Amino acid sequence: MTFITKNNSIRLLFMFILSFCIYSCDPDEESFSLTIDFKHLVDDVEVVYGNDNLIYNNSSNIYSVRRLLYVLSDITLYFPDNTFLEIDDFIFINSDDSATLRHTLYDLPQQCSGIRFRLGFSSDDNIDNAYINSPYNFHSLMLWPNLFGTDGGTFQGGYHHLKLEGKFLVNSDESYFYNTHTGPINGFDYSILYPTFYFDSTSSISIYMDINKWYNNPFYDLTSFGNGIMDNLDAQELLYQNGLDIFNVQPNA
Amino acid sequence: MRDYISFIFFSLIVFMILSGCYKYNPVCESCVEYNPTPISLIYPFASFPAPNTPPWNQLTEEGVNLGRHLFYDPILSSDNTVSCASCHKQEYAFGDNTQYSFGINQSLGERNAPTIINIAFHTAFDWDGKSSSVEDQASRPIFNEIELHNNNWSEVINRIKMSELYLDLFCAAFGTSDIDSSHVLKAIAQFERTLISDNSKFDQYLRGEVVLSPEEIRGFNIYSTERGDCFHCHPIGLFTNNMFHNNGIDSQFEDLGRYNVTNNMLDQGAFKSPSLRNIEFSAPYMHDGRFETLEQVIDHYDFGGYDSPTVDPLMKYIGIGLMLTEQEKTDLKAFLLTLSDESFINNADFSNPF
Repeated sequence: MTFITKNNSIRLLFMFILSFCIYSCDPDEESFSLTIDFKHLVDDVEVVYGNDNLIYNNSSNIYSVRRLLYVLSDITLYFPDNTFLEIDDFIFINSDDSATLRHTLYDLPQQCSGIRFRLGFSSDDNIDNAYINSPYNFHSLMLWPNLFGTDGGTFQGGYHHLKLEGKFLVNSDESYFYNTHTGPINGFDYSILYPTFYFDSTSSISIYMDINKWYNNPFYDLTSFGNGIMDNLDAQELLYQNGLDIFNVQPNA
Repeated sequence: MRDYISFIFFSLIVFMILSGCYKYNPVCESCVEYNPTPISLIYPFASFPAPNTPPWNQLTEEGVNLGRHLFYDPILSSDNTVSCASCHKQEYAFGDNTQYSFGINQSLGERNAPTIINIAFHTAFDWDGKSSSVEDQASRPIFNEIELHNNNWSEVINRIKMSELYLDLFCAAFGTSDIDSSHVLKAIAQFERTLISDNSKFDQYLRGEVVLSPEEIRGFNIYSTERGDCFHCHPIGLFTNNMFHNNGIDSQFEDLGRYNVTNNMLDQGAFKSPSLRNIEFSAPYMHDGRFETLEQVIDHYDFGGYDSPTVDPLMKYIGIGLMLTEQEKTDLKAFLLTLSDESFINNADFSNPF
């Protein structure tokens, strides 16, 4: 006959609690992730950043791409069972910082089969100094001026949507810098909310930007607009129109 | 019995060996009751990011006080003639008013001494960003042969230990009299992190305490639009974007700047955008102090700058120029002068304690 001593009782109780803890964990509860690579193309060729090599291309402008920075916000992920998940954070892409060219979203309930996002911030989210502690020096690099309270009240603060910079060819031996910077002016919100991009469920996708499209439809002439377009309503309007179809999303092989 | 004697004998030997390892450390009274007073930096939360204070070097009153003494004490230089403050003078916003500064033996530096303003919130240090933190930055001049010119830490520490002043200060700051290099750097960094400037006329304007003159407002509009396009590299708040740019002051470079750190060809001739706070007090300007006046700086940007393979695209008026009118230049300068903070350059807490 075996007696359960006091020490044995404690051991048994401990084992019981341990077993309960182990079995209460659901082994089927698996979390998923989505890795997003950001790629930027001119005529289907991926851009090599950081030089002033002019790219002879199918757009109306001959230009180089020194750097490209932009924000994607209001990100919503879609799943095969028709559920979706809204992501609170925005994504900042900066061609000067390779760490920003790949983002991974963790703790997803399933593999994704669709994504929706906005280029830039909506008016509600584009708030002066709202993201001052965001990583990758986002605030300093993307800040949009605030001239509220002055006569130059075109700018109401917040952040750029996109900064595309390089040189453009004026004639065979003359080139100048361009700064294609977009953001809100005069109370107009020029952010772009894209329709959902669907794909076969996956854990890895690439978001492609076709840079030529910024200048093609309708025609945006870098020579005519020159520089300093941040408060140029016509330029911002044209860029908004052109930006409507610049993105494409594909699952990675 | 024999075993017992052997045991006693062996224990005695072990005790003697251990005793021989004991190192005498002078213990001051403040070390006995080490109880430093934590400091929280006070700054404009809305327009400054959170300070980059490492968890292992939180600010205390005692640490800052020690750092302030070390900052102003020539004891850190090999011949006791030069201190941090020799090149970073409070009256010049902790920069220098000469193109280059003198180190020991009248050695002349190679770059203009940068200001030390709000660096608790900066992420890049030195003109070329070679230092990764305030602590890291504080160590460099100590061994630079044209600055404080020490050969190693032990000679620095020995001089400090010989001083009657520092034993108590180190005890109070770090609870030890066993001074080492990390304590020195931590203390200097703590003091430098307190050098906050947030009370310029423009700060007061943002707080609704004063109004800007029409001239200053016009200058603000030039600064904050692409008319002057200053804000991209010097955004409102810290007035630096903590990035490195070739701003077109040369087409060929004697000093390769950021390239010396990264070996990236595109970084040739690039230097950190300095904070424009207190720019009135921090002449001369640029990494090599080539411009003596704000008018010369404005004229450079108005001209547009010189082209080169690495010049930054934000210098988009190269070959064109800003074409500012004389009135616009005057207005822009008027705005820049609103960034002067008299309370910063006269703050007694930042001054020489000796």
